[in-house]
Amino acid sequence: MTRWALPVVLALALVMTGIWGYNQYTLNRQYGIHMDNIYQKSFYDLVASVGSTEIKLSKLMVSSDRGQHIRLLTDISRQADYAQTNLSQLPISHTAIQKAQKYLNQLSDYAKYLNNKVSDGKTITTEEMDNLRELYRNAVRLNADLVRLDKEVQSGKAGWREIAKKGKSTFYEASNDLVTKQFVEIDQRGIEYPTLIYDGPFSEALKDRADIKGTVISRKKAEEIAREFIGSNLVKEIRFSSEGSGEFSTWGFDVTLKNYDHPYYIQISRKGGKVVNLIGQYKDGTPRLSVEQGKEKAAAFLNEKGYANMVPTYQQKYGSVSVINFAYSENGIIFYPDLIKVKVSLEDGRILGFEARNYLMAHKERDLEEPKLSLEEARKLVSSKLELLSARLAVIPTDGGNERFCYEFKGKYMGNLYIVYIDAMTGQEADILQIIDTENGFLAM
Amino acid sequence: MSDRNRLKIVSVLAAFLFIAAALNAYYTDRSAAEAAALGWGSSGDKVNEIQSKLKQWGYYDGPITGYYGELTYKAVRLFQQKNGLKVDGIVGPETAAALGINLGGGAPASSASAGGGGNQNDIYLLARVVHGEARGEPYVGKVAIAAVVLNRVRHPDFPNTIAGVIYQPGAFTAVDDGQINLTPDEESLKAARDAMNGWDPTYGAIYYWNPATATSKWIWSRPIHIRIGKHVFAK
Repeated sequence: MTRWALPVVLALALVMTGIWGYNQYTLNRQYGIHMDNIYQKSFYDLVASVGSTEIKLSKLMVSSDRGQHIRLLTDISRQADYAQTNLSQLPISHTAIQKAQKYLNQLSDYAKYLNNKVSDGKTITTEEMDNLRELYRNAVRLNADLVRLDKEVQSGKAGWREIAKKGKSTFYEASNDLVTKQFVEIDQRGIEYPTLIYDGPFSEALKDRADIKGTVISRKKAEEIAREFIGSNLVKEIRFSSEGSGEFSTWGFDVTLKNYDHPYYIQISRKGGKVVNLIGQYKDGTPRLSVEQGKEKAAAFLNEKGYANMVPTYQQKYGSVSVINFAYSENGIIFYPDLIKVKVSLEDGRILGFEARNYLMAHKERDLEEPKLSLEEARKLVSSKLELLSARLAVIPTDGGNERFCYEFKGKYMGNLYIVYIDAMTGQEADILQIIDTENGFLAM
Repeated sequence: MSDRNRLKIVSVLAAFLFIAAALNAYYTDRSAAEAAALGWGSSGDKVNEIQSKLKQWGYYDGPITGYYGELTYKAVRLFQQKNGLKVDGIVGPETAAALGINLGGGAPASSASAGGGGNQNDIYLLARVVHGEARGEPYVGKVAIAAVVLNRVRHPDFPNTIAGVIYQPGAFTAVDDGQINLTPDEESLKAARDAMNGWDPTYGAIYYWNPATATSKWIWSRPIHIRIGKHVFAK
């Protein structure tokens, strides 16, 4: 019996392994092809949309009609956005596509900015035209390079799958495959564009924001400030953690507290010795304080720390904590750029967090001109559909890091809460915010 | 070679094959099951909850540590035995239901009350990255990881959405190896929310790495902002 049983078992096992292996192989192949197709699609869409921005930019150079400008600029920013999205989905190292990505992001952003300008009735200046010409030249170059790469991909010289396999380790370092090499080349020789300073989130102007002013303090002094801020009677141990640089330089400390199990982390600016932020760990508990009481605790804390004239503007609650936004206020004008956030425990009123970066960077003596519009004139510019609840003067931050002096109107329409900003100088509608009223967020009226 | 020997070889071979097949099946299913089950080595608020429930009912007499260790494992087995459940020492959907605990596969009960400071889904996605990338880091280190994601969204060199940044090929190890699909713990959610609310201990950093394991030369060319926990943050 054993004589034939053996080969049969062996053969059966072999066949089973074979079937299993083949299934695995087909499955793997299917996944591979599927991924390949997704990458292929992203790449083709990228080529198409870069081509499209090139054409639209060239048309823009020769058009002098405002309506046409708006249509073309809208298309350019949309196509550039789409190109950027597709580029970021390719499995190519970040270092290789960094510049192309930045180019597309700024092109889209710049087109949006110009579009807003033209829509507001202004014209494109010669300087801005020069910038556009430079951006166009880059589009031509990028497009030509992509078309060449496209041919190589089509002819099978380069495939996405091989790149994707290596992709995991190549986010930071460019590898040696053809596609990545091409992108590195595009990066090195292709893209050079003017420094774009305008009012948008990707403006170069945002890069060089000022450090906090003041004299440089020692680590020891910083430690004292940290101890004082948290409360010397509460601090058990304070330990230097790390120096920080970047937007500004700081001293960072780990702090343990008496009668509290969780650590705090605090950062003090080296210039001026200001507390930039405080991050406290906590466990969720049962809230005993009302949201209103939490707000009072936070306001009292700010006052005690020497931040005068701060008014609460928005409050959120989750679990047993509440985060309250405060803005600086003077002569009835509210300055939203001067923002401080305080996180307070509703369990015992303990301050769990503090964040003053915006305030420290933005707060200054401001020399505001008298508004050209009266409150009444501005009110007439707000849609009559809005049932007005309150009005005041406000300074709001813009995308590009600047400020705008406005009238702020809060109102209701169809059960939703809106804030409308009317430029106090020009009467333009500067911004509209819709307040998504959740059970956890409250707008201070 | 005698038949006997041959038989031995065959059975060994067959056994190998079965083990291989079983392992294969196990590994394919594991990642899916892991997201919705707690076992030895798990930690977090859910483990806290399990321990206090078991303690309340007299199955567990150890401390409430939030760590799923031997004592918890034994207590869970005892609980399963007494309640006619499959005795495996793992708190899966059935055991959790018997304990009256919501493991919450995709949407944990805790995030339902999160609210504010940005889109619900964004916070949850952000928390998943934090959970995958910074488990075992101090709380500030978790806030810092979430802040880096948000800084990238605002930076022209990177995609402009949170999902775009997180799913950029190769950008985060936790995304590549699937750890992003684990259910984030309470602390990761808190850290994500803090970062959304503007807390950024890294001052605009867009890269971070662990100096002990980073192999890329390029990454060291970046200007370092700060060191928090095991990670170095840079622009």
